[in-house]
Amino acid sequence: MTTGGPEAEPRGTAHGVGFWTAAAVGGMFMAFGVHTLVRTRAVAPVGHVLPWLVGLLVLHDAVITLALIVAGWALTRLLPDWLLGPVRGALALSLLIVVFSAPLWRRYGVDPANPSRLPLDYAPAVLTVLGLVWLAAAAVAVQRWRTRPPLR
Amino acid sequence: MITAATDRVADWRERRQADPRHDKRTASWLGVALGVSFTVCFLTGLASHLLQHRPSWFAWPTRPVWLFRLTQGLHVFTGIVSVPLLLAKLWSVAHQLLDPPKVRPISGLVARVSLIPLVAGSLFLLVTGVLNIDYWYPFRFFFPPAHYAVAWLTVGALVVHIGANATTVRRELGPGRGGASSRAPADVRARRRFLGFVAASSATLLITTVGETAGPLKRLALLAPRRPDVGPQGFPVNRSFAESRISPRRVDPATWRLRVHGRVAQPVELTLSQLEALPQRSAALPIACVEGWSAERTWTGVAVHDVLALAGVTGRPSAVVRSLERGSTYASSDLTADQVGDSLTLLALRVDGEVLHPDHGYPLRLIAPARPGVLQTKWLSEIEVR
Repeated sequence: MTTGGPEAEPRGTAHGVGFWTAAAVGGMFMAFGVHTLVRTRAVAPVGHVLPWLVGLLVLHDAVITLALIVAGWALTRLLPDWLLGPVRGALALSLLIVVFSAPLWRRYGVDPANPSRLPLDYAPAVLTVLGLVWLAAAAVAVQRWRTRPPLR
Repeated sequence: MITAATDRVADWRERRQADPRHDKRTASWLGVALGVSFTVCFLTGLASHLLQHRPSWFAWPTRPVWLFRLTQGLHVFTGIVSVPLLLAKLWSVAHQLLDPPKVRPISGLVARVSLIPLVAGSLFLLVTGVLNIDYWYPFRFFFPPAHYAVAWLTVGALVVHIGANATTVRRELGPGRGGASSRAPADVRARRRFLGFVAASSATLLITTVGETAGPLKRLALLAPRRPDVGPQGFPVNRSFAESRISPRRVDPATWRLRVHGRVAQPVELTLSQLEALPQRSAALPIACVEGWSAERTWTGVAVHDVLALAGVTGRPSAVVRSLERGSTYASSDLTADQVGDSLTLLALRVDGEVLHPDHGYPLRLIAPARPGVLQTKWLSEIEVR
């Protein structure tokens, strides 16, 4: 990301010749990407690809990010310091694992004619991984509770 | 009331900027990690694309035999590792969405606008990539060309982004203390904890999936869509015989023939027993799928060049092998002159000593070193010499 914005950088360094060279090369790559998308529109119509590009951006930036900020704020209010980090981390990783593996535990890609595809019983597999994540979080929480600073 | 809300948002943004999990040093570390992972994904993806749509200038060695297994494994699993990295990076800089838009300098505007294809493209690549390896297609476009085109778009935007931020990253991570981020011990600890958590998240996804290609870790592959030892004859199938819609009559050994034609001295048709009577070669070769799983097996059959010799072929021709399957993108594949001449490019009749299972291409399939699995054409019916 443009950390701090362009005004934070001295002119002629970050946005000098180096930047414009990168912009020219990157622009050519991007133009080739758009050209390829248009060229292959028979099998990957732009009208079907674009909603996924825009939709994922909006879903992430407007919905998920906002929800995470609100959830983070609520956790900060609810939990003591020693518990906050482990719970926040375990919740975030659990959410990621559940979403990442959703096509598996929802069994979307299963094909009865091809049993080697999605061969496991994924619900218990995901629960096992989640269990290990929360076990690790509990270990960190115990360690932090032991070393917490005394209450004033 | 509106002013009060604006003030609170501005306060929140300032607090975030001062938080070591959201400062420039953290963003720089995550940016470098993503720069490396996306570069690996892009180059290995490009290799896979060129192998499947081979232009005349593109040369790909046939050794080591595991070359494609390595490059495609890097592609898929670096992509998986990038998921937590990308989400962490976006979360760490999310407050910058509130930065006021600036039209000048123009370079700043270019850098800012390029974030739109960068973020949208990165999310698109990782989401569609994961859906593809899990065989779930909720979208209405063919995955490979869309993934390929958006990869160029994203990497282009990444190059612009690197150009805009290289100085900041050098200052934050380079020798000396030129960066703006706090180095107070408590902040350093908080930053390390956050980055450690991101690394642990990437490691969790890697460990629970990589066993679909790294055999010794297969028991840990709890979130992988494949197990390298599960399937007919002990390894996975990408396209089953049922999916191919080939009539069982057409693979009956009484009627099945392999036709060799094209630029040959005399076209030949070989029965299964004639092929079995030819000198047999065995080789341990991996079958490495573009979706990331792989399995090494011992294949036995006839070298392609031995069969072409029967048709009077001399010199170094290229060839195309065709399946009994019709209407599939992968019903045929090209063999370069190097591959035709390679004694490990086999027309396989057996795997691990057993006659091929129909799902693995009975009666005859191609298996050659360092090629994508989708090009190891099954249910062969002809070879055209070019």
